[in-house]
Amino acid sequence: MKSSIALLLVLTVLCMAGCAKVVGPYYLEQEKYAEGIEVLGERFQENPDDASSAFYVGRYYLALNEPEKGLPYLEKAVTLEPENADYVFWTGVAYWAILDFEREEAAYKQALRFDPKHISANLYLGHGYVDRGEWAKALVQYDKVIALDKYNPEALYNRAVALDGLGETTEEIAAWKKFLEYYPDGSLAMEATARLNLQGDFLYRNFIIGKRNVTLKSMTFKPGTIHLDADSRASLDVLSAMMLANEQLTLHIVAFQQGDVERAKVNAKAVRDSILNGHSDIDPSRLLLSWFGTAELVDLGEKEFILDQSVKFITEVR
Amino acid sequence: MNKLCSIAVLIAFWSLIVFGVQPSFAVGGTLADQKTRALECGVSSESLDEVEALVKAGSFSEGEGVALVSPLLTACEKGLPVAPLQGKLAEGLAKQVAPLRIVQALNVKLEAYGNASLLLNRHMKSVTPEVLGVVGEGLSRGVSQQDFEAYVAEYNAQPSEIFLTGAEMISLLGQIGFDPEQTRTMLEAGFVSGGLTPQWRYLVRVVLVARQRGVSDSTIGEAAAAVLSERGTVNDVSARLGFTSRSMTGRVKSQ
Repeated sequence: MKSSIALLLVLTVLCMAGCAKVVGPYYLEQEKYAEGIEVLGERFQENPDDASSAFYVGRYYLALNEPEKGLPYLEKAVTLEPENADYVFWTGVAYWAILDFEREEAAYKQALRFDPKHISANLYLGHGYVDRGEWAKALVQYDKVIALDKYNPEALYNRAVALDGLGETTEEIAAWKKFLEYYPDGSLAMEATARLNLQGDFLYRNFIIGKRNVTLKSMTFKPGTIHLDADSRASLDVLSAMMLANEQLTLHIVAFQQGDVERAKVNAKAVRDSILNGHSDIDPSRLLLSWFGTAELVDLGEKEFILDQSVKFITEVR
Repeated sequence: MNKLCSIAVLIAFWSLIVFGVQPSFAVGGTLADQKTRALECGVSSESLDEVEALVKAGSFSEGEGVALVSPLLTACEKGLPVAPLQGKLAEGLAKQVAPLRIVQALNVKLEAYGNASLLLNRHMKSVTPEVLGVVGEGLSRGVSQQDFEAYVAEYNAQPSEIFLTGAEMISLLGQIGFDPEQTRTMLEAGFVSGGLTPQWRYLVRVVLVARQRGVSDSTIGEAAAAVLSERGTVNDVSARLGFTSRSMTGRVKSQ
């Protein structure tokens, strides 16, 4: 409590001293947008030439999803500091929010004139190209972003989308894998996996585990052995954790091996043992095994694929 | 040139009378009379002064000046919005469009606003200038009167802001030839869920971009109706159709 009051005091003093550049990010980081509007809005009224105050008030409105209210402040900030790439960039975001895509693109290009290495302006310029199906231009933008920020998730993801648009399947598959290597969880990972699978690559697969959709690396074995690869074991650790967290969760482990039912059985057991390994709390009866000496037929709606060797997980419905 | 234009204006009026179309303004009196009446009615002096100056400079004849001012005066005296007509007049003068064509354009707008007024007053006790402007502008840009009529008849009891947004959607989507049935379906979804915020008037831009990507109107309509049912935003429609998104907070999305 004391520390909050002290922080507020410091912020008030800073604000009074005219440091919108210091105070501004605070309200963004703390997600106290309405409060920020009140404080910096007042400051802007008192100092109509303070570009930073105008900028942050605009940002707070944007964060509140009120772009119509935010845009005039952002435009004012640009008028006051026309060569500030950040200010110009954020008008672009506001234009996007009100679906004025032409002005959005112009804003990003303008921002890049002042700062060619502005990551977000490069990224969102690429997004605009993707939305218009201008794949080659989008790819150029995403490559620029990745050169500046190797792990930028949106650039990595949309680079694969652009390659798909260009019909560069081999590169597209590599791009999805690159994205999934860095970001294997969440909704983007699931979408990336679905698109990867549509190209006939099943290095990653989506499964419904309990009530969650989960992306897992496919089960692979060290050549000529019954030992799972390290990546596969890492995926199984995720399943172990989920089973520990949810005692009601029971899974079917279904193994396929074209022309070798015995190997399918061995694989199913290896997967079960890996899940149980070090987790005595998990009752083995919660892992039900099935094995088939046939290939798995994967039906993705628009396409079907045959996997000679695979292991899939199905949640037991009770 | 001026003479030719004068003759053209006269021929136009003659044609209107011969073919039984009533001109929606009374052409008569001097330009000075018209201007005085227009100013008294509340028409802003800017366009009137501009026309007067062009007549004095000999660019237009007195008759042309009267013909240009008359639609503004008529709109004002009938209680119709004058600003759109003034805007059209200013645009025509700036582009040096022939007076006859400007008069024709002004009359199209005047007639549309008149029809809009009749249409709205048939179903509503009080008509706001905003709604009148939206419906009038839509009609003047070719949106079907039937579409507006059906909308106003069914939804006139909705709160004014939401009703206005719906009217704007009928107008803007109608102008690009979007299937009116799809529009009505999504509006119905929005009214039921209460999710039709003013931002939805921008849906037209998503439609234009989606069409460029080959997305059919029915797919867009279904996505919009689904999002409206969930009280989502226009940007959610965009995402549902597979378009990219932007972070409004500055936070990066990796999941």
